[in-house]
Amino acid sequence: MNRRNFLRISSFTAGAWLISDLIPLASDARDRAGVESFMPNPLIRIQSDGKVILYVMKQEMGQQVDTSLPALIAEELDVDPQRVQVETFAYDAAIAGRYNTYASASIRSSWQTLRKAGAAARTMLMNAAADVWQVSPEDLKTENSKVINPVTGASLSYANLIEKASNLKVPDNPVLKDLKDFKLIGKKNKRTNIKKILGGKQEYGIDVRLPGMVYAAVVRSPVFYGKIQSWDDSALKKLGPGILQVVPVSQMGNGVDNRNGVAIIATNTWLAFRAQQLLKVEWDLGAIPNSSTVALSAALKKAVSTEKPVLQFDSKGKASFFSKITDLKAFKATYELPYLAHLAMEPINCTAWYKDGKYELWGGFQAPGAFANNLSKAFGLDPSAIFVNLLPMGGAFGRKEKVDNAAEAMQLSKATGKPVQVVFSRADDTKNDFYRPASFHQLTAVADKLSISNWRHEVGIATFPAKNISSAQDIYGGPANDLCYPVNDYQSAFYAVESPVPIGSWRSISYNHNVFAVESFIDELAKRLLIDPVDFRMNLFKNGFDENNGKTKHMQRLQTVLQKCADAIHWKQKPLLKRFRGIACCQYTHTDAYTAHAFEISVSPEKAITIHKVVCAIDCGLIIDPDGFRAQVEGSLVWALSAAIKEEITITNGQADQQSFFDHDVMRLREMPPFELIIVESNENPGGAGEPAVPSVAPALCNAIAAATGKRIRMLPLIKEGYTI
Amino acid sequence: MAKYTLIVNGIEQGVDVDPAMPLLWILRDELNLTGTKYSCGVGVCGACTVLVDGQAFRSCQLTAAFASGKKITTIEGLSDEVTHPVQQAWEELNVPQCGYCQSGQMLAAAALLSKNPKPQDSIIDQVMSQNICRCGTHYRIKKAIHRASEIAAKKG
Ligand code: FES
Ligand code: FES
Repeated sequence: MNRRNFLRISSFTAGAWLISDLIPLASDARDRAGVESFMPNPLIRIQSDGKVILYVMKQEMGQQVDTSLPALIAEELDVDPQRVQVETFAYDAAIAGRYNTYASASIRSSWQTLRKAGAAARTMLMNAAADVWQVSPEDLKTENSKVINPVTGASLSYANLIEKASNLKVPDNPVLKDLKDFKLIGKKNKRTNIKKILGGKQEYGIDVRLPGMVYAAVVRSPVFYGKIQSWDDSALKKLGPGILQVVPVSQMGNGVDNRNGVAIIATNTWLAFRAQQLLKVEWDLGAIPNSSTVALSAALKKAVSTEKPVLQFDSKGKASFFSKITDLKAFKATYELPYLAHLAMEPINCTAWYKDGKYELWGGFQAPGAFANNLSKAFGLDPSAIFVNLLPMGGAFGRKEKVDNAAEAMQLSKATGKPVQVVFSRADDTKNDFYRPASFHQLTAVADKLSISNWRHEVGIATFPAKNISSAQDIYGGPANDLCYPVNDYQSAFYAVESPVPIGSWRSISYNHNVFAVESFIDELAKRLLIDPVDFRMNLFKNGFDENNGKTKHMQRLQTVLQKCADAIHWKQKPLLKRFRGIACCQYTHTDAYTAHAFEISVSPEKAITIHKVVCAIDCGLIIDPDGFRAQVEGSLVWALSAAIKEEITITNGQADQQSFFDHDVMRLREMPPFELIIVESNENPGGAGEPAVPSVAPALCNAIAAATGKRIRMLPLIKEGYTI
Repeated sequence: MAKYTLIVNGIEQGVDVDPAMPLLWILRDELNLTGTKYSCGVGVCGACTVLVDGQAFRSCQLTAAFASGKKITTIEGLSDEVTHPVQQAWEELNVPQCGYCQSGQMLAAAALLSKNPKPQDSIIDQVMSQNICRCGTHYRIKKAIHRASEIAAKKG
């Protein structure tokens, strides 16, 4: 091996934290020309030229993991931030699942491991320096990529210690910094990739350009299980020689989730899109269940009132029976929520190149694990035959967990022998989405001002395919058994109704359904019981939980954000004339985060809503990257208001009606209200940031509307009820 | 097919394309300038915004015939070192999330500031509401335009 160009890798088998946790044993351990480097573990490369490279395994979609995750390592490693370079960790099929990025889990799941990775490396470098100076490592300190001997004033740079350090054992239990000594965590850190974005140089999947690459648009089956009967491409002739080929694409099943379709291969995207308009395909659509919004809505209601639930819960978890409340004093209310699409600004796309029995892909994916687990099986390949160049996503919000686009690009590259980029037009993207399912909620409770004795939450939800109840219940929207208010007799039930369109994860998953229903109902109960809705919630909290399974602590954190939110909007003082307030809170148990939103609004007789102010108070535990965190909460407000006020996917003949921003409007800049964000300081474990600030927005706004108009919102979006913003 | 000469970011480029091919796709697929983004293709989102003789246009709605001979500025050419006041302000306030809509946002902002160096909130609201961002960078865009206006005033 060339002495001037070698890599020293520590034994990756050491360190139980390393094996059992997130960091892979395999690594991007390639030599780099011209420098020696030392990799104490696969996420850190310390080079002889003083540069330190930190690798990120999670996928970037705007949540700034390329800043927060390296900060965790850098903090413990005590490196000079100016000399740190962040790179994405190259895809490795053997550990594909570890790249998955969803459920706001990136920081939550890896923050201790990343700190340990940094601390272990630092310990090895200190031990190396101690050996050089023949002193005890305990007497040394580190700073800016140097080990320092405070007694003699001597210092050695990390770069000069890599050879020695690489011969040392990786410590099993590296000591972590005390929270109060953090220099990077919780501070404003320079965003790694921002210059690239600002200069237009950030490469998203849709920007990939390869030698000899061709472009594809696909005419897909209008319904998920439709089959091609025939097609007629005679009209494409007039588009000239730029149209290269017309190729069928087959549905692959098996967690791949693509549809049958006919693709046009062309010399540029625009031509492919034009051809897509001219290609005629006859489909066998098969039977479509509940094929319209009206039919589905009726089926959801009917299921809740007449069918037996498919799943039921009590306060301890899954239960074996469900009983409705028969008490005549019980309050009852229903709410209905529509299908929602994602419409990330970067439409779905993927580039693939089939060569010598192997596929190389380019694109942004939230769940690269699907390449090794689903796509390789569907194509009958060893997982190692697929390599993915993982690129940042232009928005994802749950949609890019799917690999339908990859299946198409792979089939097309194989058929053409060329690198192929498949691009979904905006309409393709909207119509071939995996939607937040529509749902119908019925809540029943027996309550007084001080407590709720009996509580029932029944949810009818659109599931797809029909038998797949588990994902629909937990991930996409069924009832949760973690009601944040203590009640004596808690039960919830879940009724599945076959959905005509596929469903999927949508930013804040089941919470955006359940919190809307629960927080609207709590407000409604308070009104009927003639008690202030904040006082009512506080009374409920006072009853406490019996089980000591963490619920009490959750409740206390929720109570704190609710109080801070109420204080900030001056809940106890009367608003100005004709202004009204609403409040709601959300315990986001999945990611250990607690949020409350409050609105102050007025509503004109013509139902025009003016939002004077929004307050959000949030406790997300320890915050690694405060500015990135704020951005997530700001973005959550825009996202949630957009859905609450404007967004809905309606269904006709089993197909989404909407296609683009002209028939599916979203929140605009001028519509955003004044916003105050209160972050509750906390040293609890970091919670997720991307989702928890979504669910309480809609009920807080609707509670304010109820206060202003006396009319309860039972259906979203608000434009459907005639409101405007 | 027809031949056109486009002046993109100060460089003259000859292209031979279908006369109906929008400038967006000429930039992206013919000239490999992918900083200009596709999102709707029908003029309603603003992701594809470029400057033509200093004015903001949606490149998915422009023909080569219209653009030829005029000065086209894409995000890659807004400044040499990412130092346009808009880019500086965007960096200071960490505006982008995913970043996909931001080249369109910055060019729309740059055009606004060149016409109106000290825009009021109401003007910003009106102009920038035409550009869509799904990540929700709305608040920061507004602040950053005010900041860019300050930076530009200082630069003189
Ligand atoms: S892509 Fe041109 S306005 Fe949307
Ligand atoms: S920053 Fe992602 S769409 Fe605007």
